[in-house]
Amino acid sequence: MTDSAGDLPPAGATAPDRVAAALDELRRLPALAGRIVHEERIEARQARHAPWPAALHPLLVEALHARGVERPYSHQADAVERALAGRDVVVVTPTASGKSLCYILPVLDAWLRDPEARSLWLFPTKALAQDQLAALGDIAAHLPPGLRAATFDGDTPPGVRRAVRQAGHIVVTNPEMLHTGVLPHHTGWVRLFQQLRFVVVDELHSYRGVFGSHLANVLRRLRRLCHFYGSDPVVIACSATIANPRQLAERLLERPVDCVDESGAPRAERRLWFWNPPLVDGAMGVRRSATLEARRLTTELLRRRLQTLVFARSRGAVEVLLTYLQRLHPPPAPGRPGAVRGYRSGYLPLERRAIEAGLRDGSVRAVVSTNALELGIDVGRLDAAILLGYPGSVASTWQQLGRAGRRETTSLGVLIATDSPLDQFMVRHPKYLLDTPPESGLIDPDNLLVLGGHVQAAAFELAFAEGEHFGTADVGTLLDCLAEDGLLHRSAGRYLWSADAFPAEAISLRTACAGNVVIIDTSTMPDGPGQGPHGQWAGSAGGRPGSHGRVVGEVDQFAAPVLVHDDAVYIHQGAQYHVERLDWEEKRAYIHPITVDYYTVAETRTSVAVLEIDGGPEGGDCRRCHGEVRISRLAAIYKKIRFLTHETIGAGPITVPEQDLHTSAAWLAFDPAALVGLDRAEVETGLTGLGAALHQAACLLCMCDPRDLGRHAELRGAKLPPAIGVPVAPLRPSAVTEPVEQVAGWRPVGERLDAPAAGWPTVYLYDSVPGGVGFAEHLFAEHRALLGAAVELVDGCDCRAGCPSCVGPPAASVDARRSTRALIDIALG
Amino acid sequence: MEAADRAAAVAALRQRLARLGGGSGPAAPRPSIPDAATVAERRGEGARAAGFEPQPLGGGVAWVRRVSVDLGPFLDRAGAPGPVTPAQLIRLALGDPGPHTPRWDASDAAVLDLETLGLRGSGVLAFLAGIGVPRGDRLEVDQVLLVDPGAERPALLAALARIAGRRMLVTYNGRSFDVPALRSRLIVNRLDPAGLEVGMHCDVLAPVRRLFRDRLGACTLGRAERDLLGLERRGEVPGCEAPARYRAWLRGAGYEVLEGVVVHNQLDLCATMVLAARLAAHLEGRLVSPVHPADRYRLAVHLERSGVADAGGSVEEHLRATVAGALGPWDRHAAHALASRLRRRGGAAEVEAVELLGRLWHSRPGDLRAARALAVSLERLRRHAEALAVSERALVVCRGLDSGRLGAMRGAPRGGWTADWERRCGRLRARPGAQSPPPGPVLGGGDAAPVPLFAN
Repeated sequence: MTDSAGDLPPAGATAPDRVAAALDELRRLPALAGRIVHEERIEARQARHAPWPAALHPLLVEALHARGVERPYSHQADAVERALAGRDVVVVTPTASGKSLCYILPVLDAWLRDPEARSLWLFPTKALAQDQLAALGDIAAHLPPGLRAATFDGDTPPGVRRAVRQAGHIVVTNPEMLHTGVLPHHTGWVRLFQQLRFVVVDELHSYRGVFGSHLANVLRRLRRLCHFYGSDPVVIACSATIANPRQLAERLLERPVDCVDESGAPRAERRLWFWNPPLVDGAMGVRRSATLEARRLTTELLRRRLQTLVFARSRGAVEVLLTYLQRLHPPPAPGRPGAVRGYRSGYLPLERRAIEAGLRDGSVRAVVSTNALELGIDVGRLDAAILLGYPGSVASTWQQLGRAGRRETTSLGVLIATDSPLDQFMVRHPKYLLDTPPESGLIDPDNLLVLGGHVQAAAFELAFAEGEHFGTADVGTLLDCLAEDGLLHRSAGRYLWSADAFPAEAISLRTACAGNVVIIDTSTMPDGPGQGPHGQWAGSAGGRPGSHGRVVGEVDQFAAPVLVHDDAVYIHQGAQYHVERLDWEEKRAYIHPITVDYYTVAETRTSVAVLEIDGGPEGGDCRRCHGEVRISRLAAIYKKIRFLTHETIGAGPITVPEQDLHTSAAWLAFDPAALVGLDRAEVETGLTGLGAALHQAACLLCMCDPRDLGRHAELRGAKLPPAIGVPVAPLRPSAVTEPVEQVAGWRPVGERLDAPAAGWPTVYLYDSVPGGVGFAEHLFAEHRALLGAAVELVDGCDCRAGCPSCVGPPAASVDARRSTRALIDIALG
Repeated sequence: MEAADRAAAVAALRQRLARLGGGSGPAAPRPSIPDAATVAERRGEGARAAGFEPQPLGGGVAWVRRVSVDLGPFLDRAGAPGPVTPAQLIRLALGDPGPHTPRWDASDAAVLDLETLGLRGSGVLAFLAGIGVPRGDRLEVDQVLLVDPGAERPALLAALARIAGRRMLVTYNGRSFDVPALRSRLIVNRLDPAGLEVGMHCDVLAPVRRLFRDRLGACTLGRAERDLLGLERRGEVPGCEAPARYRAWLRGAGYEVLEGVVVHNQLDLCATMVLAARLAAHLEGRLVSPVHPADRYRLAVHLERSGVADAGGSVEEHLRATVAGALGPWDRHAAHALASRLRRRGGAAEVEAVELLGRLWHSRPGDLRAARALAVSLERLRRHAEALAVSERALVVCRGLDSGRLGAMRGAPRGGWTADWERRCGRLRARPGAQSPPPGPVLGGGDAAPVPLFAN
């Protein structure tokens, strides 16, 4: 619930000086010497209150007083006031700052004034939805009876669904359900759409990349239907701190949005520790296990009665750390829950509710969790939050750290770095985390693959009129294309759905196209499809042996030959799996768990063809551009590499056709004349190292997973000196050539448009999603920040001549760091 | 945008989609077709030639065809004595129509069937609406065809005009499909769906399922037609082809591609009315032939649950007939139901129930439901020794079963089977004469050989 609600003190409440004293004592422990490479103290902040908005219904104010909420924080009052005035608003304040009141109050106010008023609440997960309903119930208990609020998702029984459709004042759902269960059946929701006053979008920052692009289109469809039924709801969004919340909200909603980002919630002093495990093998750069470090630290915190939450990167890591901790802190009796618990989305809902309640009342002293607890489920406030590995984005880091923080007492946040390059970068450059604004949330609602599916779904819901836009997208040509394909029928100035398919079903909101390879764990073999409490069960129509099992994930077609080829070692959620077989025709990969001391690497031949330049070229010795590219990749063989020693212990063929990916990319092309002083080997190594450094830096800038971006470096046909110090005449760039001929927009196969820098050594960064989601364009625009981050990465590394943490493994006789740095200097001009 | 520019833009977009891995790539070469206006005109000509007449309505044109079908031969073949009457329709829809005779004629009812382009969602287009009105032995069928999907509004108005104000709407699965689909199209076209709310709705699928799901399995109209009416359509277009045929017609194929769908729709309407008549006759005792082992039992259950006044003891008659059959599991179900009725009557009927229950239990000692009813009735008849013998034997059986199986048994008393038998035994032992050996063979126990009555 909200901070303003006068929390009960937690069990065994620790006084402020005791927590600080405990932390001071910890820092002095010899066993922990050298690990805390940086400590940052964030000052306490007093609460800032404001009066209740004058427009708020008096009954509601009374109910809040009865609930113990005397006056709101300033940001709550501000947001409520704007929403009541009919303005879309996004609230961007830290975890546990009472964001939920910002939408609960306007919704209840509307209902009190008009019993027919409706609202729709969107949450990314069912657990969050349930949590917020409970918070709503706390206030509604003090209001006149008659408010009907319910979740509408896959678990809602048929009888309840009917009631929610007809009479639900507040419909709480998730994007997938809205997409397939509400919008395409809108004639069953007439009252909702006619009386819709508010749409709540929580965890707005999670709607980025492909998922956000899809949600933007789902919201387009929603607004279209609202317009049809005569409503124009106000949108209230809540977001974690990202660099561009207003921009993301406006991109999602396609209209102006007010931003409330000054939190009035109080906060005690917070300490941040950047923790780097000691080296155990300096030559190989191997450090002590971060999991063991987390175990040690958690144990010390528990010994000092500090309630602690540990975030691990994967379910496997959760289970491993939990096993360690529960051995040290066993439950009081067999069968009874202990004070140390695990938490992940795979646990049953009742179990998770019990753990959340245990955290609130203090009976649970430590929880090891995946990022399932990152989102705003109410677990009270804790003394310490430990991050076992960098979560992948600055925004997620602050979300997770924000789980610790009591109002009166000091709290602790710890980032324990693993071996990964990103982790090492973050822990060695704490200022990056502390000073860098959180990443931007980027979406591209007009990605053609995403847009095309939703236009079909929208046409199914309501016919399109000629000239009608879909949101801000001009879809006339797309409609004509669909009509030509027989999916729509064009008549009397309208495009009507005339196929017998249900178009929403063909769209997965988490992917750009439906052609992914499904990964199936054959070790789970249930008795027929549809069994089991978790996940999806896949059954093969042919009853092929080993074809029944739990679907554990998906990978796009372009990445599949590299990640899940026959005999590959595939890592999923931190656990190893062996790929028995990749059925390319059926787009299925069959895996089973394995524990081995090696990993596999696919060797690929990649080529890039530039199809269209949308920005640039800019610059002199280094020309940067962005545009549409075709990445062609052939995975020919794979190698088995032993951990730690990196020796090759085996190899095998990969028999999958060459894959093409059409997407967006940003690239840097280097004038060979500017490369005087570097021989061919150095340029090649430098290009590879630059690609690695830029890739990592780009992930930081774009708030994305490393797999969301790809990189490629090409030496091309550039004639470079064989040895240092032998200058040659600089190559002239090829003259700009226009396409030879255009026939209805078609370019002849093989046409390359990357002039004027054809033949220059080039490094590319591209979106891994077909069609792109906006990363490449963003990187082009932020090239200086990108290069700056790469400089910090390279300069700040402790290695001698290159390592996986900065520019990749060192080459045989080339200083990779020096070569990479040289190229960065050229790029920076 | 000019047509040539439009075509170029579409081609460019298609190429881009193909490159991105979406869509179907460049369109497969299609035979050249005339422009849309010409195609639309041809559709109108084809529809007119097939008997559809354009009717101005709602600012546009609705295409309607009327056909009168003689249902007599179908009714005869199906074994129905005549067309379904209003009272019979009410009985099918609501159960017991009560003592009052409806004051409306069969022609105040209408049967509805739609042909659509899909199965779910608000965007499913209904391209053919068939509405039939019974007139004696004949069915007057109006079919509204969507010649131009852009002119949906007049077609909907035409269909609605033929439904609104009816006393009864008859459909097959219309409650789940046809009525909601039509309602959706009315809303999407900004027409008031209130006109669909007729007096009563008889969805014939519901009684078909209740009465015949054991013999039919999937209760599709086609299967009901074949198995219950003995009618088989020859050479007709299956319903699943309707969407593709309509789309082909939209794109310029001749009307002949659609004719089969129009006939199919007409036959569906006729079949629904004939089925209603046959079901009504079945409820009145003229059973569908051949009689399936479950038929009488299901009929008895239906009659009892629908609150029909049991004139002439028809429910019991069906139960007895089933029990006498000894052909499968239905005899046991019927025996239980019959015993339950007899026990409620008490007196001599309860004595008969005791014999029936004794045989039920004797043939399957694990039937604790039968044993319990038997013990209770014996106790009521003051045959305490027999009641105790049954209870003790049942307790032994209970203790030999695992808790899972016990818990899954129907009719478990509060507190569970074992506790219930223990209490009963304790109470009966205190009764006078309970400890005396029961007269005659002990029901359900002892060394007497079981008297087989039931197949299992």
